[in-house]
Amino acid sequence: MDLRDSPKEARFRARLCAWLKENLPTDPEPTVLAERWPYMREFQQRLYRSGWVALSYPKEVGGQGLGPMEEAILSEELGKANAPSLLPLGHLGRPLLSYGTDEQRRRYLPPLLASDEIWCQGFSEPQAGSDLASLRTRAVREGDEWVLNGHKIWTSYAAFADFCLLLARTDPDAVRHRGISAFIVPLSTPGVTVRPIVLANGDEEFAEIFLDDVRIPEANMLGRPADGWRIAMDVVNYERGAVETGYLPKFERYLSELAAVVKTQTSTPDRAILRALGEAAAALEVLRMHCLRTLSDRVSGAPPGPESSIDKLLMTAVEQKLMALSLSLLTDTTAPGRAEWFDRYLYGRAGSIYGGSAQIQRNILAERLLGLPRSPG
Amino acid sequence: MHFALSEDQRILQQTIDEVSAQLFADSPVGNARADGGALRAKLWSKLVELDLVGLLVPEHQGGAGGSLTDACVVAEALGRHIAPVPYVGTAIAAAALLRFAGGPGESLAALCRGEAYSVLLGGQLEDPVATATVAFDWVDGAQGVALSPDGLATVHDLVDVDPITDVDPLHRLCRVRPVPAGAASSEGARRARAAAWTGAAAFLTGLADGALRQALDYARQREQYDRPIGSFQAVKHLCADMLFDVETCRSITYGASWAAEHAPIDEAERVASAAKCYTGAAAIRVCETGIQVLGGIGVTQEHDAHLRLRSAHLHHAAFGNLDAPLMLLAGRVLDKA
Ligand SMILES: Cc1cc2nc3c(=O)[nH]c(=O)nc-3n(C[C@H](O)[C@H](O)[C@H](O)COP(=O)(O)OP(=O)(O)OC[C@H]3O[C@@H](n4cnc5c(N)ncnc54)[C@H](O)[C@@H]3O)c2cc1C
Repeated sequence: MDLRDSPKEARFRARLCAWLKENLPTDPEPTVLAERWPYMREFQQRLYRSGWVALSYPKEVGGQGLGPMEEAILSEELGKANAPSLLPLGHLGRPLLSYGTDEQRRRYLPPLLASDEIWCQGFSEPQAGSDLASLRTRAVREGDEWVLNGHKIWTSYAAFADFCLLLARTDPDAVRHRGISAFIVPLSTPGVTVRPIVLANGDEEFAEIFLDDVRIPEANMLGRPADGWRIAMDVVNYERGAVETGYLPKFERYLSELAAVVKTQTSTPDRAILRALGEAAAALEVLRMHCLRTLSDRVSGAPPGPESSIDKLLMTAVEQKLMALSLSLLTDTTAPGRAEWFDRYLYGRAGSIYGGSAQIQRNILAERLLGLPRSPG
Repeated sequence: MHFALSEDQRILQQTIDEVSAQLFADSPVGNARADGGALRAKLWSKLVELDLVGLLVPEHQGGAGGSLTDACVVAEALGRHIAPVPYVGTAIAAAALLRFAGGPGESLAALCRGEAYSVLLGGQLEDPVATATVAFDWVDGAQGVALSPDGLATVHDLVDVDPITDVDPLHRLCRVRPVPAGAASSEGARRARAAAWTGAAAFLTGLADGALRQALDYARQREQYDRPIGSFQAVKHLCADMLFDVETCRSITYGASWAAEHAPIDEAERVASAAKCYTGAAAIRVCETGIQVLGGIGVTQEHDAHLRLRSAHLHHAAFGNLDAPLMLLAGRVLDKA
């Protein structure tokens, strides 16, 4: 155990803090996604150009060639500086890095990491939610092309995206997860229709994607045929961490915003409020330490495994605790910010659904980590 | 930055697990309720022999010169076995107070040799404000350590002793004739309190981990409806929740074990207080859930699950239960906003 910065880490932190001091946007983050998206993207592009994004990606693909600990420092300092939210897409470069050909990595990773091209994750389907392996979208080989037909749903940021990492069944005879492959689908391809879906809080965050005889070159398969399941599991394991998604700093910002709310309301908060504030702060501290532990495990280069379900459950618990706190603080119908916080609260309910529901995470922990007998499915 | 136990710390963990498992195979921890202190004394002298009681004390003061993380590794392993020894009270809380708040050197050396020192707390096991009335982790003949009103760790002979075993018979409290005490204001005293919070958190983490292991063993063996109960999703999710709690307790506890010793004092207190309040609530939850998985046997005196739950409540209550750390955390967040 040594939570001190190494000299190299300390230099990195100092440079980062100096940069943040000069470069944080002065206008507040818009609450509505349609306005928030360009704002977040612009900040992320600026971060990237100054070398603060994709820290642990290799330099050849546009990363910084640093390690997981620098990612942890970035997360911490963005939180302390109340920086804008990051695009929660950091995990989508991982499969390209691990499974992409040299050609694919060179073509797709630099613009992805720079947020010049936006990606989305086309896994879920109307009939295949938790039971992802039952997905029905088909990919059929015709000459040197793949022809895709099917229907994806809940695809976050599809309406803003240029490419979709899409799972489709290539071998209908193989059992369930063995017949699935992964594809890189440009959303501008003829036959692709994206229809936004409005979230409970009014944001058009996700969308349906309809695929009608969508033809893509054979070179657009990621990995080999039937690698789809492995690739998908890698992606969700990364997605379940609070650093990769940029959620740790976001939650830190939420907590300081809520503390500011308390201060505007009273100079002598009652004990119940102090307790709730303390609990949220403690939960965040737990998340911060847990992320450090998780990232330290990754220094050796090992990708996250089923233990990422703990990270995901923790991230959800922290978010939902912060939101419960916001509700208890903003009971007065005239309180400023009430509507925005209620929207955030609604969004917080999705935390225990996306990336594998809280029940699915518990199944994973019980069966994969504790070795209890498997249930059907 | 690196967050992981060292190879030596893993071996230490294993050693305590083996020592405890051996000892308690011959004589279950529950026996310690009525054996006149025999089991406690046996394990304590083993810990002294292994030089683990003086882990927090530098070598030139008679200790083993270990770290708080080392001591937490020991405390977690002892908690796992509900070991009936005053490790948190003596080897962590009292030792930290003596060491960080200017206590007498001869007491520190005596503590390392295995002599009994309890920490003195208020009636609700909070940090005493004006007088201390309860000795935490008390054993027969123990002396008490408290901060004096002028802020120095001071050793007291305890008189009018009246043991309290209602909640946790394995880790005794004792009402004592009140002694004058002061609040932790110096940096040393605050660091000692952070160490006490963290030590309790480590013991709580161990208690929870033991409950999880017991529940898992049982869930694999016990059959109902011709299947192991561990194949029912309702039971699996209870076990998954326990695992979640145990692992997150570990993260915050070991983070705090480093911060409480090495970080600037404000950060040390912040992380340690998060550890204390989080693990207190989590360990109680996990021990309760463990009993649920055990079914009827879990609520009897024939099983030690109730001793584990009792111990979780005691350590949750110690050093200001949830409230002291939560108020500190809330204060920090408000100061920053
Ligand atoms: C905000 C948001 C963003 C999303 N973004 C994306 C995205 O970008 N790309 C993508 O591919 N998908 C995305 N999803 C989809 C998400 O992955 C699915 O919603 C999720 O996997 C659950 O599937 P479902 O909605 O069909 O619910 P179902 O699977 O039908 O589940 C309904 C309920 O049944 C429970 N349940 C199901 N199976 C079991 C079981 N075996 N044991 C116990 N309980 C069970 C679930 O826990 C849940 O409570 C997103 C979802 C949301 C809410």
